[in-house]
Amino acid sequence: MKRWVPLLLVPFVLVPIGLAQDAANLSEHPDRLRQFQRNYALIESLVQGGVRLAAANQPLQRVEHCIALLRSLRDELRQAAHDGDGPRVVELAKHVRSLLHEGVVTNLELARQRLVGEPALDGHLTDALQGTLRVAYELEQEIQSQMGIRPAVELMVAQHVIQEARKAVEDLARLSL
Amino acid sequence: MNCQVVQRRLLGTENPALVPVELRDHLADCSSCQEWRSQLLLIERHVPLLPIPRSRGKARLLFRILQAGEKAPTVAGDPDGGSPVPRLALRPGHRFPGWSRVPHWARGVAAAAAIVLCLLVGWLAFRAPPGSFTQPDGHSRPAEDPLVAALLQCDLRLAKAASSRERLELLTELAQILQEASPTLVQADADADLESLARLYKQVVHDGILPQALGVPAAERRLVLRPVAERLSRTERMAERLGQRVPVACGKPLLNMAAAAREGHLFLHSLLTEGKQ
Repeated sequence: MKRWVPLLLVPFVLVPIGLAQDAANLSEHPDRLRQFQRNYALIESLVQGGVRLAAANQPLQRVEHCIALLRSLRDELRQAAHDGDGPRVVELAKHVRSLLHEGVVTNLELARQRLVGEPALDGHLTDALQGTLRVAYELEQEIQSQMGIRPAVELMVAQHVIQEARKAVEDLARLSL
Repeated sequence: MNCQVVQRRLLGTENPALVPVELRDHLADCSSCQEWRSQLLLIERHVPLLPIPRSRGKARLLFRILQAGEKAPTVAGDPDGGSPVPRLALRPGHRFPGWSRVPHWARGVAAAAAIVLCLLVGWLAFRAPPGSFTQPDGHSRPAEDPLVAALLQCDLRLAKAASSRERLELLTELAQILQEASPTLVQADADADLESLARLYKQVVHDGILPQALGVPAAERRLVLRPVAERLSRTERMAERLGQRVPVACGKPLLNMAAAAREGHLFLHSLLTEGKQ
């Protein structure tokens, strides 16, 4: 009898696992579809931005394309903050941070190194820095105003994440200007 | 019989109020032992009035049963100053009373029920992250959109890519990410969204991959373009196969995607053969 007990247990173990996986798959598709539909504008910006970034040879051109992507993220983040969708606010704030650190700051550094001794191009660098900081400040102000309406941990996290990234751009600005 | 012996005997009796016969003569004559006995009786009367400290005795007892056979633990904080606890051991083969009366099949069913319950609770707990992931419209959703995250990562790498080869590879990856999103939309019968996805895919191939391929130095073309062409060819086959199996509304965008992939790999093949000549 003892030998049969494990065999009897097999269907009891496998059936719920199978059912759970099916249920998870079924519930995942509508979620993914909803995400796709809601994020379509951002997806489009990211795809077109990627194509433009690939075509851009100069670091300052890339910074411009990154700023365009930042604006798309800002619009989405503004909407998410307005809707009170905390997790989405944090998700987008993290994307903003990545874009500022890896896209903007990296290329501004590169541009700064290349522009040494070329004062004619300094204006472009200044414009790029100011453009980046403007978007970052707008984002922070947006989050700040939403925090006044409904204080939420997610908004505080997003604020902190963007502030930290913005400071990296400011440090670079101090070195460059 | 001296006073010390009498007092020890009194301590040893179960009830000091009842004096053993052999001690009575001494107690009748000795005032000091009479005083000592009255003190003892006083203490004895007040013992039941002493407050009982809170005890974890039950938990310790269970622990001792489970740990039977190991070294007996010491009871710290006991009024008796942490004396060693006598060891309790279960005899080998001993079961809890009543368990042996439960039939084998019932034990199996009970174990299976416990496992099913654990799995169900686990699934419910890990299926969706807690409360904060609820959207304002009440739908639960995963915390992060993997498609957006993947596209952004690709863009960030493109922002740092130094060579045409690197850019071409990243654009191919971008196209691949879009193509991999199509089955989800097919399963959801989202033909309009599939159409948008196919349009983006075509844009990446036309405006991204093909111009970048032209920028790859002739010497590197064979090495760089061939894997990209093969990947596009695979995408063409997959999208075509899937497009023929699904309803027309969903099939059309997939076939458009396949056409864009075909155009891409034919162009790359032409560049490769051009290089040979």
